[in-house]
Amino acid sequence: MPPPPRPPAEQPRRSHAFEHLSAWLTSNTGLQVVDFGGVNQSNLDFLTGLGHRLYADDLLRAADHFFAAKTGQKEEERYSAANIEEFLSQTLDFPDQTIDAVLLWDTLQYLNPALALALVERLYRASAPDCRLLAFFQPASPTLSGTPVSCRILDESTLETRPRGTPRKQQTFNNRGIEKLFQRFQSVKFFLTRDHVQEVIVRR
Amino acid sequence: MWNRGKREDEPAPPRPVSTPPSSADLAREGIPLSTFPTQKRDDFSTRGGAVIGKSLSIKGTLTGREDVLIDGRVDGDVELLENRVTVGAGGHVQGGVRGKEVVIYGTVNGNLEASEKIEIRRDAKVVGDLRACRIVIEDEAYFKGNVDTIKTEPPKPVAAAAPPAPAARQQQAVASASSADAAEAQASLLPGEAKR
Repeated sequence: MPPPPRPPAEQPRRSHAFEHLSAWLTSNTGLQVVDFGGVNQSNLDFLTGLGHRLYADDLLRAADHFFAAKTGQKEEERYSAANIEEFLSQTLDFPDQTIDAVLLWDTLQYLNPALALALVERLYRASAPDCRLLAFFQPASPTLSGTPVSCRILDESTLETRPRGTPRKQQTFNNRGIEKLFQRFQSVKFFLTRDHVQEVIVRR
Repeated sequence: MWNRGKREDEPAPPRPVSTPPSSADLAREGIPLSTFPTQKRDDFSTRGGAVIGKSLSIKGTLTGREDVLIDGRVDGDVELLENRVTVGAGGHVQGGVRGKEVVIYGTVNGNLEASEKIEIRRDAKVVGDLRACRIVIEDEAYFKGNVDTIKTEPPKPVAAAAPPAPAARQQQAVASASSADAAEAQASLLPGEAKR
């Protein structure tokens, strides 16, 4: 009996932004790559197969766990500057200018806005010259919520995305907002997919 | 007395079939149990080896030359370089783990290193760096750290010795001639006599 058809959310899709990034990864070796979408076998095999060193962490899960333990009824209290600094010190403990590539996937959309800003600022410090960041931004949802996705690298230009976890609050970014978010970086290149996902490659 | 005859006529009671003593019997008599479990533990293979049970807690470095299954807690490093180290679902290691193969079902806060393979199974939690020839991480496993795969290069073919250069060839010929003379001189000596 043939296997049941996979839901649309799990269909492999071509990613022009990732294709752009993987061409750069393939032309270099021994890079320090950071994957903030959590580790999976596909990504591990692909990136280490190219001879790169991979640091993996599920940033959303780590943030949920960390800030849930912080006292404070209001979100502003839990996401205070001090708590954010403590979280980033634990999560992004890299010396300055040592990271060569960052796979953010759709993580930034689901972080607290203050945390997302602080994370990008910390990434700017930790990223080496010519570092490339990959980030996805889902289209605006009328409910202001969405489901984060897990991205698996199938080959140099193909990704498989799967919903992970439950729907949660989602930040909406337009092009201007994305440019402002990465204003300290040298350039931001946009790629729009058929289902209106804004893929960006940011260069340090 | 009046029953003696009757007892002699009665058939001898059947001899009991000898059964091996149970582990409970052995433990009662103080006989040490084998470190090689004979029963399958959960879903681990019956490879044999030592077991650190759920109630055990060890502080310090664990070393040895046999496979080990850790279901308890180890505060320290585990170093079994020629064997397989398994951290069971209930196991917790607060330290590094080094082995030939390292398989994690439980929790490890420390670096993992294996000469062959590291496996992190679903529901495992590992915070630390990984270093091995082959690394397998199942979905639903939590991992945070660096991943380094050891590349094993294929053995290089032995290159045929290149003919020496002419000047070197001449020196070589002189050297081989003098060694041949020495060998002949040695052979001419009587047994027991050594050239001084």
